[in-house]
Amino acid sequence: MYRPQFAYSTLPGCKDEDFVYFFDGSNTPFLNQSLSGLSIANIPLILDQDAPFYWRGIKIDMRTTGAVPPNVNVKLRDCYQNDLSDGLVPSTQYGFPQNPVTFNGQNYTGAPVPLEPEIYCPRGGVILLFLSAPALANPSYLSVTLFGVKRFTGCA
Amino acid sequence: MTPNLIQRHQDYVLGSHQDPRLKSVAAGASIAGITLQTDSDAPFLLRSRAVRVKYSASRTQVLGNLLLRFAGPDRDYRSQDMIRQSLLGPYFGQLGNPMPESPEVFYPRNSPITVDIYNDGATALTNLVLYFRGVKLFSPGAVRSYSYPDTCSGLPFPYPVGTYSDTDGLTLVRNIPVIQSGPLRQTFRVKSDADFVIRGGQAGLPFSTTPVNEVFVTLRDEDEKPYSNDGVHMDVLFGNSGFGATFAAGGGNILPVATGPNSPGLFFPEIYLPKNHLMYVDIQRDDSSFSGAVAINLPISFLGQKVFQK
Repeated sequence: MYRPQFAYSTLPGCKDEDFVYFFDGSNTPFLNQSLSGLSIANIPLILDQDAPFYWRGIKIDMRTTGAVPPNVNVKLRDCYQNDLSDGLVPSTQYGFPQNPVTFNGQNYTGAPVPLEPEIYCPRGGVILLFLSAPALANPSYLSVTLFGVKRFTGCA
Repeated sequence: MTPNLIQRHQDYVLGSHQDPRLKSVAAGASIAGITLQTDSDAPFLLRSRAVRVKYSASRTQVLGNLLLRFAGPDRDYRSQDMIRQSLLGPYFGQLGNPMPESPEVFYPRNSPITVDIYNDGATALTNLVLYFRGVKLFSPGAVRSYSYPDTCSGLPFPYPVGTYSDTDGLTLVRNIPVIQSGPLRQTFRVKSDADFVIRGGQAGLPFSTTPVNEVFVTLRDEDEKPYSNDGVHMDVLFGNSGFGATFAAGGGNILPVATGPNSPGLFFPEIYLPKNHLMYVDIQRDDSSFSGAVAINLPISFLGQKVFQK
């Protein structure tokens, strides 16, 4: 069952467009706070209404002081109430792809973590995020980035 | 390739448990003819390798002075001379990303893997371990081997190993003492809603303020048949994305990249577990030489896919 990742074909009559959803404190109020010592359930990550989303990768990151991996445990639930892990798991083991490399003071964290197989998300669907973080020394703000394609129909 | 045979993931470990000379390889020392005999139950296809030494007090490894060569089953060496292993992989095949051997090397049952090593550095290599990763080949029916239903759908899924606690809301391998010489067994049971196929894993405690260094993992199937001949270090088998600057290079230490859950320690072939079936995960640890080491709760996650029959 191994196969090249992302080798998905577009259905006849459809058009796939690369699409990235980015959720942080600017568009998700629950994430507009330092997560130190917090446990939060059912944080809604709301998808667009224009087209279904085929979710193929994820990156979980944390803005804090210095280039450090995110010290937070996460669980996601898809738009059909399927848990995407057996409870909370450390984001360093799921979602945060690799060590941050610092270059000119910026963090670079590599390619996203692939989701295999892709997860279908209907238009206007809601993905739920659960998280818990230990007490952290510095203010720490989480962001979640979803990678995939939007599939438009009637474009042939 | 291997028609009608079952391939099963296998790690052969060649360390001080197998040859006491690897406990400490002195500066300038060379050892020839280190031999590990493959098991009698099945032939082995070698497809990749890794090497490691015990972490230093600052959690680094100095492996840049290790040169080696290894041989196929007829003592047919696979390099003209001993090769500096840092030339083959920046992290020496650790963090779940072993150094590939292609084409694969076939070892019949009970055949020797022969290795010559040389330490051209100024310090001894402590607890040197050589890993030989590949597959065993079994006849159908000789080992349990499950696969997908005729029609199915999948969902990507991380499955943590260990015991759940309401206190922290996490599933962890709990209370691993500083010295755990006998295996601390974890029973991993697939839940009843779907089959699960294990394709990789991640493990580690990157945010620990106390030493978590020498932890070894043996995976076993539901018949307790192991996937390795000895414990495999968790940072060789798995890795994680919060890894510190570990590998000595150029007067400093380099930070591993591309070693987290986007390129996890992979099992090939994948390990298919039907719903309600078991795996066993045996943990060993010896951090007694590290100041400040305490009992830990360790996260280990199997990464893979739930499989729903349709």
